[in-house]
Formats: sequence, C-alpha cells, structure tokens
Amino acid sequence: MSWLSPSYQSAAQTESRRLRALPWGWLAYWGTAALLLGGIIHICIVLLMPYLAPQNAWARLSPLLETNRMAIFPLARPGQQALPYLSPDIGYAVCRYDVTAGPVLVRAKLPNAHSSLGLHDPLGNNFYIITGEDVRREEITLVLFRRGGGEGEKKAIAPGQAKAEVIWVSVAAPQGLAVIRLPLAGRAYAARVRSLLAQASCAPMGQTGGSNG
Amino acid sequence: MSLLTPYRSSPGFYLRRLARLRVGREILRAARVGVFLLLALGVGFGSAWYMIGDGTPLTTRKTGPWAQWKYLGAPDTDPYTRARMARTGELPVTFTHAFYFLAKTDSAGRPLRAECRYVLRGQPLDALWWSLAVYDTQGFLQANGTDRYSLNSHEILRFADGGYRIFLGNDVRPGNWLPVKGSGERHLLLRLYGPRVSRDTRRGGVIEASLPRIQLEGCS
Repeated sequence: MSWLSPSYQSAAQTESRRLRALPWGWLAYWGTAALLLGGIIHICIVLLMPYLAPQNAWARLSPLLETNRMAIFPLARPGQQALPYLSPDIGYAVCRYDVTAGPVLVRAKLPNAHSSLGLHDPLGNNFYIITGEDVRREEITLVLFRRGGGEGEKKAIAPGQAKAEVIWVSVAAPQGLAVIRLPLAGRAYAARVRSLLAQASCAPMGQTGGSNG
Repeated sequence: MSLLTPYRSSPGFYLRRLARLRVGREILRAARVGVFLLLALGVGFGSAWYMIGDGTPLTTRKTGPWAQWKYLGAPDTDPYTRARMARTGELPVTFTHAFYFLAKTDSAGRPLRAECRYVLRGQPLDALWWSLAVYDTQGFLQANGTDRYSLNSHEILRFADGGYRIFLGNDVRPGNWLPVKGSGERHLLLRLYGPRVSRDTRRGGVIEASLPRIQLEGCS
C-alpha cells in the first residue's frame, strides 16, 4: 500500500486490524451450524406439509360431501368455488368414497375423449384416471376395493356384470375422492353436462347404483 | 481518591463488577443464540416457502412467463410438488393426462394486474382440449360483470393458420375477450387435457413452443 498517502495507510491498517479482530472462526462455525439446522427445518416443512396443511383439497371437500354419494358441483363462479383453480368451463362431480366396509361402485358417463373419471387419495394424488379416449362405451363403472381384499366380491359380481364395462380398481388408502370432469365445448353445453353428471352415481356395492347426485 | 470512587479493596466492589461481567456475557450469549436461530429459521422457512411456492428447475419448467410443475398430481411425484398441492388446495389431474401452465407475469416479467390490458398471441396447442382462465393470487375467480371467466379451445376464434389472439382487460374487445375487472394481481392458468407428449420424455415440446406470449397493452 505504498502508493497510498500515510493517512490512508494508517486508516487501512486500522481497518485491517479490525477485520482480523472479528471472530471469524465463531462466525464460520455457527454460520455452518445455522445453515445445517435451516436445511433440517426445510426438509421437515416440505415433508410434513401434505399432512399438516389445513386447507388441502381433502380438508376443503370433506365437510361438503357425504360418504359414498356423488355430489354435483355448480360451475365454478366467483364465490361458489369449492377449490382453488377449478375451471369455470368444466362440470365437476365428486364422491368421497370409503371402501372400509366393502367395495364401492362409481358410475359415470364420459361423452368425449377429454372427459375423465379420476381417483385421488386424501393427499390429492391422482393415482388412477380413465378418460373417454380409453373406453369403448360411454358409460363406465369402477368398482373400488381395498388392496388385498375384494376377491370374494369380484367373483360374486363378475357373472352378473359381464355385459357392462366394469373396471376393478384396488385402492391403497380406504378413503379418497372420485372426480368426474366433463369439459364444456361452450356455455351452451352446460345443461347437457349437468344432465350427464346427474346420471353419475357412487354407492357401496349391493345398494342400488342409480343416480344420487 | 475521590469520595465518589468506590473503595476498590472492598468485596462489594468486586462482586458488583463480576455480576456486571456475567450479565454482559449472558446478554452476548443470548444475542448469539438469537442470531443463530433467526438465521436457521430464515434459511429453513424462506427456502421452503420459495421452493414450494415458485418452484425450481428441479420441479418446474419455465417457458417465458409460463411455469409448469412437471410432475403435478402424480402419486409418485416429488415432495415439493406434493407440498405445493397441499398448500394451494388444488386437485389436479396427473401430468400424464393434463398439463397446467401458470403465468404470474407478462412476457416482460411484470406482474399481471387487473387494472391493465393484455393481448395473448399463440399458436395451436397439440391437446384434445384446452382452457385459459383468470384467477386471483389464491386461485379463485373474481367477479367481472359478465358471466365469462375462461376461454377454451372449442369456443375460441382463430386465424387461418390456427393461431389466435386473446384480449384480457376491462375494455370490451371484439373477438376473443376475457374480461378482467377490479384491482390487484392476477394469475392466468392454461390447462391442457390430453396433451400429445413424447413417450420417452413424457414432455410436450411442441406445446411449450406454442404457448401464448403475454404482452401488456396499457393500464388504467
């Protein structure tokens, strides 16, 4: 620092002494520890959020729905939207199923390729979906049964249901949501979509599976 | 020696000095612990909030203003996407059957606002059906004085080459007009059902190139 004037040299030396006097070792040690603890907090938040979030889809819908009964949602509009980001031009019908007591039948009509019937576990994961593109008939019946069970019922229902398009789906969690999504081609189709949703049903096996929406 | 100066050889003088030293040390120690905890909580909560809210290249794919959570809705999705679904309360279709593109800004990076007018220009999207809707920052529709809250692929007016133009804003416009009223920030959600994707990458490269550009026209 010979190119600096003596007063600047003195100031620089003082500053250098001050910097050396700072507890760098302490800062590095506890700074690293803080980052590590921050990382642990980060991981805990991310992993626990699905189980602790008070406003996830399951928590929002459960109070609105009866178990094993199909509910038709009105088209999403301001002030009448059960969940965030619902589409205003899709007709939704939702059933909160529970297969603890036995298999549950979900019937739906999928009139076009982009309509669908999906199953979600309580965390919202869409573990099963069937679309109008996948089925040969407009009407589809899903029989939901608990994983590891339902074989007896399967044998019992199979002969009687031979003519219908029945798909057996084993579910890992006994409870979940069955969601029918029928996109509208335009607002003029709202009544037709509502009529199709009204023909959907959700009921324990053995009960009449008629419309209960 | 002044009369006000304490007598240094008295035990009280040293005890008081020792007590002051101890208190000072305790305060310093508490301050250090406080700084340590604040830093750890800030790092933990801040990074989690950011990665769950906005995503990172690990979890999201950005194309201009559009962000897509890559594995949204899937049962084997990553923990960040699962945490996001829990936080927002949305119930999406799995990414193998639907794509969701969320825009919080225009193509220049300015936040989308209800007081402003925008024009979207896009090319045909390779999907069975798509729909564009405007929400507030929490994902809820806001009243706009009309009964129109979205435009979809069946009802949109197109140019001869299949491209389209959508006007967003309070002013009535001919063609594809999506009314937006009120004030505050808005989000645009473009959902595609039945997107055509590559079997290998499970990505819709063509779709990303066709996503509409969002240009600001002006603000009131």
